[in-house]
Amino acid sequence: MIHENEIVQELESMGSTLTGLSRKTPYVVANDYFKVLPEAILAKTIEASLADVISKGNPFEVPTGYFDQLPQQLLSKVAFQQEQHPPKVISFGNNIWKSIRWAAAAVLLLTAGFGTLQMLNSENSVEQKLASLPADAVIEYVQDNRSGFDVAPADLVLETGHLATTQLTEEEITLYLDEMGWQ
Amino acid sequence: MTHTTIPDDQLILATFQNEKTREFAFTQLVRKYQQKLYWHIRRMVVSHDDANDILQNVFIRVWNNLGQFRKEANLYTWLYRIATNETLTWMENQKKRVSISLSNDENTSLANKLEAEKGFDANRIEWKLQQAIQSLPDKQKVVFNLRYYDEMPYEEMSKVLDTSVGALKASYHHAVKKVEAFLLSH
Repeated sequence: MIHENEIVQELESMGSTLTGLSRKTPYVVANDYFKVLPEAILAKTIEASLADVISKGNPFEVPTGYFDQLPQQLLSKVAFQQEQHPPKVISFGNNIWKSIRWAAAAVLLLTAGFGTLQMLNSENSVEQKLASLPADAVIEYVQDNRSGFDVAPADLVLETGHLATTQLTEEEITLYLDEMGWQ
Repeated sequence: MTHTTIPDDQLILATFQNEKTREFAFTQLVRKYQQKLYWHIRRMVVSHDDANDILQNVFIRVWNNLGQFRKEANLYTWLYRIATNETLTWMENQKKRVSISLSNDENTSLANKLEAEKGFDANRIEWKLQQAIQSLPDKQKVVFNLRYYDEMPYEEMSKVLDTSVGALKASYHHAVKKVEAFLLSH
């Protein structure tokens, strides 16, 4: 390294105001930093080297060109095996196709018939189920699930009582309809 | 080699070649050059933590490549070259991060780090000088620091930075003028 004075002389030759300044860097560093740094760096270096080895994974070697040749080798082996034990060939012929067509038609017919039968049964089954319910249960359900606006004339019957045995007059019916907003 | 004597570079290199003594040689190498390289990096990046990270990366690179180092070359120059390249690369990456964060001035973060340094006093000339240096472009900053602080001859600097001596002299002179102007205006 050149002598410190040479730097100062260079600055003087430039007429620089930096000539008289202290060249001490004001940054602070911990007292023992440089004492422990070499061991810390060595440890990190070895760690980095190990990480590099580990990241490379498989340590085993593979012969050169192995994977390039493998497909052809496999094909050759397969061809050899086929020559030794040729596979059985089953001929369908024309008759087998005719049989398949008849079988397919039968399957379709059965499927359509079964489906129709199911449909018919399902329509009756709902009515049958309703018919099998007791009348009291039906009435109770209707009364419990009736909305506030769904006030049937039967309520008037229940509330007024006497109407249960009398016929409603036309005037009463009209009044009811007005109240319910039907007119 | 002992811990008290400063080993010769050729001795370090020869000892490093032997697998059994490689770690010892490497430790000697670090002890010999750690402070010079550390301060070279620190003057560029300001923060101790950043300088520490970069310095460790530098020595890891040295470990990986010292075996191929040509003995006729100057080890000191080679180390400085690695340290400078690592530092400039790091600073470039920092700028990219800053630009992503929509900051307008890439030197703002270094200026902020400088002001956050322990003992920082904007009224003291040594801190003003650091502020002036941080206002220089990165490569010019390197030239200034290598000459002004490390007293590196231009011929060696030329090998470190792969730039002609003439260009380096011109760069240093311009850097000095810029630093003066900064000090006068602040």
